[in-house]
Amino acid sequence: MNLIFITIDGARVDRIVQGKNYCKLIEKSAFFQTTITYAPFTIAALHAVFSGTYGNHTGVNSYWSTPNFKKDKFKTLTNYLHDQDYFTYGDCINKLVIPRIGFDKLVIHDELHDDLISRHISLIDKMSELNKQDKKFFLYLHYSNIHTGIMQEVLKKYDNFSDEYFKNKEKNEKLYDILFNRADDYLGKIFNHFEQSEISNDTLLVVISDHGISIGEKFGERAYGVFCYDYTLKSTALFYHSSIPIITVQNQIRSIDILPTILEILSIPIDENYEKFQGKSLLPIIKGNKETRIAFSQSGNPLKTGKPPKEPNVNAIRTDDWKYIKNTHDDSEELYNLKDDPNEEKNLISIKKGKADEMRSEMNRTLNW
Amino acid sequence: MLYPNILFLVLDSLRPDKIYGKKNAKIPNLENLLKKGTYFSQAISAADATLLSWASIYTGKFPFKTGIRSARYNKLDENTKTIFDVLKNYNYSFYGFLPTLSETIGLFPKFSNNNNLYDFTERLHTGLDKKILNLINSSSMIEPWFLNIHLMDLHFPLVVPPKFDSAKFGSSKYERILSHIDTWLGEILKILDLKNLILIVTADHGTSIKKISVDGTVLDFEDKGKNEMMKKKFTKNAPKFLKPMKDKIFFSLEAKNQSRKLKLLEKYNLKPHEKRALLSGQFSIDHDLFDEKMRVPLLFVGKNIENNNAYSKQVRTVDIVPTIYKLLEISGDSKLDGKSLLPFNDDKNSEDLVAYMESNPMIDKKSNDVIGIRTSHFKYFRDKDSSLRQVHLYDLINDPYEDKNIAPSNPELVNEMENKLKKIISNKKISVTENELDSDEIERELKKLGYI
Repeated sequence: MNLIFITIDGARVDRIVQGKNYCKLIEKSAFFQTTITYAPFTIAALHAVFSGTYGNHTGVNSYWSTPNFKKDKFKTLTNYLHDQDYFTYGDCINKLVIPRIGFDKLVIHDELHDDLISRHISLIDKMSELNKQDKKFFLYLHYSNIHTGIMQEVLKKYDNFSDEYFKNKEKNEKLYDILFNRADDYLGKIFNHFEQSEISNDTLLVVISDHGISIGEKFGERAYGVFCYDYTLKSTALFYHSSIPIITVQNQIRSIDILPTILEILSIPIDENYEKFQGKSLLPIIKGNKETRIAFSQSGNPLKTGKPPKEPNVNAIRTDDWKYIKNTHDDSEELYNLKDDPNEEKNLISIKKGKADEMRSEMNRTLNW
Repeated sequence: MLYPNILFLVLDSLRPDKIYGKKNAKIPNLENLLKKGTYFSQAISAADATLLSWASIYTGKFPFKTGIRSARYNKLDENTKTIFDVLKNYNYSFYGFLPTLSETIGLFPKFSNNNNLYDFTERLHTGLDKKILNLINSSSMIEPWFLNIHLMDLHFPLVVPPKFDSAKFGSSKYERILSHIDTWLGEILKILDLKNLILIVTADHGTSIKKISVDGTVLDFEDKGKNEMMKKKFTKNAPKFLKPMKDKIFFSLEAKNQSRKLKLLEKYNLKPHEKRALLSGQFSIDHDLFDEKMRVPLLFVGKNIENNNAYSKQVRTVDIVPTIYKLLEISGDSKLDGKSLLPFNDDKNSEDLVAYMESNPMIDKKSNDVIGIRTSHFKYFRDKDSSLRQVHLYDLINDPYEDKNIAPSNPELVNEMENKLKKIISNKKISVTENELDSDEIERELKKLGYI
């Protein structure tokens, strides 16, 4: 079976579940509505997805650490498929965001100028042609234009402490909605084209978002990559093929679970020569198993420096109901009850001491894995 | 079969109006060549400055497809073929004379003459003329050869050789220098055999001439070449740590200079293009793509090239390489943006060769760069990142000097031109081939993404 893997960079869950085209696809797929990303920024988020392992182990845990990826220890999705004689092609936003290893061709598009709909449709057609010659393929498509708009209208205009930005939440929402609707339109057109193509019967379609984006919820984070709050940590994962049961899962899973799931669907055995993934296949959950998973995330708060730090300085552990955050830059801790307080406004760290201890030791366990 | 030799002569900043039609410079040798060859008076460069223009000329591709962005940051993409890569397969030997910096971008081959690089302050009259003549005279070049000469004489700072510094050689420094280049050209043409040679004369871009006559008054803002040259030599040798200070001084002097000039010009009723020419400078961060910078001459002379033809249809410098391949009857890279201009004709009914253009980013300062297209009727350019900023549209037939921006009153035409531009710039592919990313490169990539 072939694989088309699409990342909708920066798509928020609250918009995804209302997106016209997204919903059409969700209705036909196995959809994980609470997929917690390892990092609320693309570089570390996607390295974790591609390796099935958190960045504190793979080496990619900050904006700066792409070259640190331990490619000899962690086998990537691309490498797995390449070893199975897939033709592997990626069309990506930037050379830093995914591990290059294993790609027959990895091409960087120009997010400012390229028409991603026609570009990606033509790539699907090319893969389809290839498939006619009995060649299996892996096509990675990165939809980057939410980032583009945020970069032009937010990152380049405001800093993390601009009053003008945080006082205009309505304006921020409007901008985000315009950008999201374009992403939804992209997805609709790509999916329609995919469904009408000859490859759809024998191709697994995976669509993920890598992280969410702030619209001004918390002062100090104009977009993402600063804190570990839910508006950026919550992402999604969707698996579509006629053989996959249709299900929408609310329980929490992790972005590191995506790779083992794909390998199981494609019946590709785990390579014992490499480190074990931290992620686990989601197929049991897709088949109805009620299971939830604890998620670990890291971010790099640039504080007042204007540059992201070289090492993470915010760690978070999340369960379906609770989140514990440790800000290592000032040693502060936060604890939130996500069921009662989804916006993470009431820090219970000094009230719920038992829960805090439990979450703290879970974090230590993950850090020491 | 022995292929003809090729002399590729790029006269940096040469404007087509200075060698064809009404002209003041004394250029009998160029006039003679125009009679012997085929000339395109409406050739458009792909960029307003040397590096990106070279990238396009020598690959036959638009600059953004070559990987070269500026002298400091990017080299030719390893999958992009140059004319040198192609001609190597046909046993050409390469000789060249190029200013320093050319060696940093991976565009040029290893030239067989050791003295192929010259300091960017060097001019014909300071010794370069003899170096070139000596090579041609020595008969040491192995045939078929490709001799690539790039001359900086018409480039800022303008230094007129004393023998040519009089009115009979032209009214501006620019024209007098051109007269000198012509004399030198006469010398080398005496030696070369045009029967077994393809000679191409063109430029990488045009320039503004900062000397005009308004109502009988001559306004002369041409640079003081010798002083500027001294400054350049001095700053080139200054220690690296002084560079930020040097830049600061340059930019503040330039700003003062500009406001002084503006004040001087207040009393004259100047047209926009006249003002533009007089105020143009090396250090402006606001870039544009007006014709004075984008139009270049393009002349083919020699083996299998018709005599005495001058065509005014629009062509592009990106078409030069495919034209050479066709003249040599060889197959080059098949995926070129340029098109062969053969058979040479002036068929204006055929579809316009739309010229893509972009401004060259500054190296040490962030410049406001633009991209655009030119058809034989209209010029359109806008901010390189946004179709909503710095939007310019000119009717070249009714307003050849581009004095009136008609974009605000022609939104539909703007859209049409934008769509044509989008068609060109869409789907550019940049392959990721680097083995390791160094920290400078990561920083640049993070900047691109808007994170720092």
